Amino acid sequence: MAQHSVLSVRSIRKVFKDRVAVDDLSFDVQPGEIFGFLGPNGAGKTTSLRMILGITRPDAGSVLFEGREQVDRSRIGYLPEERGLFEDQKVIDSLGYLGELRGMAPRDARAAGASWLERLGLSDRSKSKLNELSKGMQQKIQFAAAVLHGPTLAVLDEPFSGLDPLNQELFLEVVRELRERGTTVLFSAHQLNLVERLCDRFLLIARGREVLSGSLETMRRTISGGATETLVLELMTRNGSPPLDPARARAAFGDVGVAGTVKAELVGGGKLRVEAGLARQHDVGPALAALGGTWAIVTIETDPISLHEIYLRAVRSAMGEAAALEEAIDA
Amino acid sequence: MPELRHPWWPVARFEFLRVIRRADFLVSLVLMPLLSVGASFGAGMLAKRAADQPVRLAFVSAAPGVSTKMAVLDTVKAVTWYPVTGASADPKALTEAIEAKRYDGAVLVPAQFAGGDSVRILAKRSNPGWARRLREPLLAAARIERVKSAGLTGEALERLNAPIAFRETLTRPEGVTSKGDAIAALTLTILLLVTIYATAAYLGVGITGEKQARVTEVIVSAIQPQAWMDGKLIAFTLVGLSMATVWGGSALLFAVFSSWNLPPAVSPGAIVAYLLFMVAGFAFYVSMFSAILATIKDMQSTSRIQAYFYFIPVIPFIFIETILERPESLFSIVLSWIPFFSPMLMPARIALKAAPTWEWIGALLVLIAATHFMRLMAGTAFRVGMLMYGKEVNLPELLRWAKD
Repeated sequence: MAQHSVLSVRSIRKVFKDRVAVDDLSFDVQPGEIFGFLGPNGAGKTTSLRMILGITRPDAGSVLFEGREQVDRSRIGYLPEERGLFEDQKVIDSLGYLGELRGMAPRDARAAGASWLERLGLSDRSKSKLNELSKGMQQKIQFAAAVLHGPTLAVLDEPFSGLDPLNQELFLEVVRELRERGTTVLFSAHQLNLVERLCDRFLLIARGREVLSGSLETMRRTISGGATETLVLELMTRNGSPPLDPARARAAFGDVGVAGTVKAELVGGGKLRVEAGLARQHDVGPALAALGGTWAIVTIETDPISLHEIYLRAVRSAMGEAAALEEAIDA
Repeated sequence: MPELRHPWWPVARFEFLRVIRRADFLVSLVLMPLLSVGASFGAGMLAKRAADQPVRLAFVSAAPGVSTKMAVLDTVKAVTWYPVTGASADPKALTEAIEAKRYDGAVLVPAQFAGGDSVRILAKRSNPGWARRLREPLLAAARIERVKSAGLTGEALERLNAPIAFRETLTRPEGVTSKGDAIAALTLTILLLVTIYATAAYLGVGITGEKQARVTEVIVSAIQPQAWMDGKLIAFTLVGLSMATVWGGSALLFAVFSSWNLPPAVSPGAIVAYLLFMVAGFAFYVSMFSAILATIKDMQSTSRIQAYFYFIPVIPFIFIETILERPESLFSIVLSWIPFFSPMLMPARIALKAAPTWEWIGALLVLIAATHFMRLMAGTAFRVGMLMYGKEVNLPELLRWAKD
């Protein structure tokens, strides 16, 4: 029997008055995946998540949970972006209550809550009231509330916000542990350096529509014309060499046929900086030999194209296209 | 892990325990009976003190037979009379004496007071209570004077004043009203009114609290908004009924132990009907208030239009006199069937034997149906309101969403 995706989103659309919040959005999340759902503010992420969770209904399209249209709420965990808990209640009581709402027996819910508090280093605060805790502690408790029932799918919206670097690292560990326990994670966050380390696949949206999707490698290739990493060189003149020439430097890479774009520009300190998008294991020896024979190569390094860079390029491109389209419509 | 079959249950239990564990709830639960007992005790003490410290009134009479009038005036409660004659009886001297606090007031009876001359009252403030208490005894004294001047005897006067005897014959044997039924209906109606307003404070926090604490999204991702609202409605209905039980029980015990008399008997059918209207009425008002509160994002910043709905439970008291006077009129029947008013008015009509069984059961069913409708409205308002960030739901939006 074919295994269903944990989550299948099929052409969902949501319109608020005359504003299209989400438009024809489709994607699948596979069992055991950590899936990054990214986009700029106002891109339609939260609206999409609400439709996925059954809090609102899409105007068009459908959301399938393990192949069925009926979302089983007891098997989903949700950490919303807009957060809060019962401030007048003890932490363990709040966790027990929220566990019960997810279908757990009261005793099991409290036991699971206590276990998560221990894992998150808060076991000594179980009897505290929420308003007695720091923001970071509250954030951890919110997280525990979202996952204590061992959901099949955990939807985490901005889980890192308000956390210091130590706690961000803790959350990375804990999310990986969740996956090991069999929970599929749908993840939305703006801390792209962390998301990049965590997620298996990504969906990048802007203005309610998909901009880019796939694994990091796939997105790198898509956004950079097949390149997955950037080679950075800094060149200087040596005695008797010709003056630094950006066009000549670009031409050297043109001769070896790099996958991505080649940028060359004069920078301070009498240096020429060259950036070339490369496919993995591309032989750039001839280009380096040509450049090294002409000028001194004082710096050489390679960086994989970061999620941050992919995000900026993809979103700027999409926003530019959308703005151009709007201008055309207005005209 | 299966989805909850009754997701309202953990909500109801959590909310109920959340309220009844509050220190202010426990204080108000105990405080209300104590205040009631204190008020009764205080009122009794004040009445006793008033009796111990009667009003001091100067009495001046130009009429013959002053002693007769004094005898009549002696029946006025809480007054000590000081007959004054001579220069001291002059209105100017009496005014000075009143201002010097020797007297609280003065009564000047003219010679022809029975013939139409005015009895003069000297008082610090207009229309004092003691002056009102004088009217009947003075009228009685005037009657005696008038009878004398008409040449009639005392026997004739007694015959003139003899009361008329009434003998009641009921056209329906079931028309016998019971004092116990009437007291029970009135007590439970007042108890309903007091507890609904006492509960409203907790309800306000309970319905809007999650919005302000931003917990709503977590909850409605776990259960349906309607289930969440149902749990709240059940919890707050139980909170109110718990208060009513404690307060009503305390009042009953106080009544029994303060008088050492059992309260008058209440017919079992009537008490069942009253209790059903009380429970259903409470659930209705809680649902109605919840539907209103669900449209509010923040109690601090809301418009005050919703507050007018809070007056609905007291509206029936405007009509209560008509209901008591003519409980079988069309007006009374119609009002006592309307769910906004029936929890207050139908028990009164039942106590007056003016509502046959089929009628109060019918009104009860209408009340239950209206409660169900209000419950759905509350759920819808909450669902709509939750998703409308930065603004509150207005009526057209609510109706449009309810229709959808």
